[in-house]
Amino acid sequence: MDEDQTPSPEETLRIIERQEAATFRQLVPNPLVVYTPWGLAWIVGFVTYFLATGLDGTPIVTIPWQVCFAVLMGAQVLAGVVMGAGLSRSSLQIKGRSSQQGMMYGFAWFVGMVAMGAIGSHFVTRLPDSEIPLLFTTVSLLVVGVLYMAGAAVWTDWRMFLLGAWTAIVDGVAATVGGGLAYLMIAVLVGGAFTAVGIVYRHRAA
Amino acid sequence: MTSVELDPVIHAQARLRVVVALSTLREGDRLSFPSLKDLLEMTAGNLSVHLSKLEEAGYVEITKTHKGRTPVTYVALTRRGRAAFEDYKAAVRALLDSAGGTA
Repeated sequence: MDEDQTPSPEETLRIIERQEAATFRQLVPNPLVVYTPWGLAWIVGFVTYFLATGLDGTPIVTIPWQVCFAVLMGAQVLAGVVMGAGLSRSSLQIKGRSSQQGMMYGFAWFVGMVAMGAIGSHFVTRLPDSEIPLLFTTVSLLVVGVLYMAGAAVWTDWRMFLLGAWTAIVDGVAATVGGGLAYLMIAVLVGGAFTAVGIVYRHRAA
Repeated sequence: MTSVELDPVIHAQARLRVVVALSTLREGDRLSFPSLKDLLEMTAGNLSVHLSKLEEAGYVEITKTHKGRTPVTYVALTRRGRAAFEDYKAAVRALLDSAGGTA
């Protein structure tokens, strides 16, 4: 079609709809890239902790804590890389209010996680060894849940809000329950939710 | 006979797509020229021509800044451009409705 041609009203509506959808796909990050990698990382990482802890305190599989830690961290680093690669591929160069919001939100994650690390490192010295990973897990997931809810408030995204609220609630219950069951709950309920939401709401090809 | 006039600045396939893409941005946001070019799959020359027409009409605002030493051009719909697009959409709908009524 000639670019300067004047389209019929029907064509005009179709052009508007198609262009809106195409722009939207570029503006809104693909949930498959934003949620699912983290969900999978948490399933892998926390199932490992669960197996190493067991339901009644007897390990199901003997896994040294260093290995558990490395599996969880490695999976999360991988998730971050996958998300970063996916986001940079589709992101439009935007300047203005949105870019400031994005920058502040990014810093909020950084500051929140660093502060969480400092607080956790201070208190773990008074905890029995078995409780240490649970403290770091639940406090960091609290940061995740709260920041998801805050991000949802910035971008008016109810899906994101519910995911954040769900994370914080499961996290609170898991901390209360404790032990291996806490890891299993987080793996299945939080990891599962992130994985599923990303897959269900993924961007479909035009 | 059509009693509804469609804004000739917007009513050309290429410029319509430019306006739609920019209208999807939130107010206060600007899109870089290269991003817009990739999004619309237009050549730089072609896009420039259409942007000048839209700028002449006061529908888009073009700002040139520097990122380090490379100049970057950002494009945004003006308030007037946004209003014109709303009117345009309403006019298209009115045309479709009247066509449906008489056909």
